[in-house]
Amino acid sequence: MTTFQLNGKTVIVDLRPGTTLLDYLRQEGFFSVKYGSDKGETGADSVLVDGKIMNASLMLIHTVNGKTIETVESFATGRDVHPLQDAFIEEGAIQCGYCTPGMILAIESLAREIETPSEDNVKDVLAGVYCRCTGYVKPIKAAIKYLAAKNTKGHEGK
Amino acid sequence: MWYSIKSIQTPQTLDEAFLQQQQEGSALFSGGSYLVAEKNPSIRTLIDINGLVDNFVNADDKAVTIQAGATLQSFMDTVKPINPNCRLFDGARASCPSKNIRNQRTFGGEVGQNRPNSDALVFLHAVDADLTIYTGSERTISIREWDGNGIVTQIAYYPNKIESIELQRFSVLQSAPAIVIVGGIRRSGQLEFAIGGTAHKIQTFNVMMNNWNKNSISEIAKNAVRQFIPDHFGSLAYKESLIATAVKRLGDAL
Repeated sequence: MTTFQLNGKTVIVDLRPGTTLLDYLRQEGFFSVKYGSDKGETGADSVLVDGKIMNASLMLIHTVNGKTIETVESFATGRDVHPLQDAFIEEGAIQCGYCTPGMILAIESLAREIETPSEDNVKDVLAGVYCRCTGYVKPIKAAIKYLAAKNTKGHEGK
Repeated sequence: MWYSIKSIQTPQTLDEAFLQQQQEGSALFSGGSYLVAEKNPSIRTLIDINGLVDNFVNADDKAVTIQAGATLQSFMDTVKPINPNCRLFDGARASCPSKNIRNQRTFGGEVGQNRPNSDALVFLHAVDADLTIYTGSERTISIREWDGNGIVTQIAYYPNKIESIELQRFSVLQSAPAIVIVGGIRRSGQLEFAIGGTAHKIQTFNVMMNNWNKNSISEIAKNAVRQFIPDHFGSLAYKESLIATAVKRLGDAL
């Protein structure tokens, strides 16, 4: 039996050994997490595990026991998208959208990890997510915009 | 899905894990990123040692001690504030440009997989890191002498015993696995080089400082290239010249 938190809900599963987290998430309809390759090269299968960006295709389901998993499905509330998704829309940082959930999660993991991430930090965290359409200029711009706004808001609130 | 996996064992002690590991079709599993990526069909049992190996890193001027369960990223996060110029930091990033994977890949796995194209591993060979290995009991040996038997529990190296360290790599792209990686150190009047890349194994070569000249460089390159193969990255002559260039640059810098 494997028990974990998935987007705020407790999940208990009993799956055959060798099942990856990606297999499970796709089977359960979390289609923001995509198959890219079996080797984690693309980052299309990104999820947050205890707030850290990781590849679901490289994780066997038993290893997430007791952990907290987040996918992009947990980011929007009703029709309101997350401010980071908003920044992507405003900057036109999306084309086919295959890599976008991975990029969103990668940037969010960085925002939680470092208070004022640099552009190099953004490039580093996005290096694990391959984009073959827009490239990285606009996603980096969107990330910096989001991180700056988040920081300003954070400081205003203090 | 890794279809060949029939069971996952969670041993309670290293002794139990060591015995289970010797069974045919078994493999140790900690971070597991390589294993899961490869999905080797001959592996039927995974021995999960996550709870048995520590995952913290200690680093100061004298010693860098990495527990086998520490991920490449946790190492980088720990070491960067203490020593921003740490070359293993660069090696860990070059070995794995994806932060996603660095968050999963452990140092124990990096050493256990023994891949010659791992920058971090070439670095550890260059600095002659000590491995703590469990084979029924714990013992410490040089990484250069390890035969691959046993469970790696700790990796340590001692910056205060090394006068200088350099790392040089040649790859098609910065983020691509390197064709040639050379790590070099200077200690006790001697230059020591570890050479890896798209090769069969990582090799080490020592040269006394007073013997450092053109001939010693070409001798190292000539011997090292024997473990390489000609492929789409280039001929053996090309690789030999890359090795010679890297060794010369490092030797001069050291």
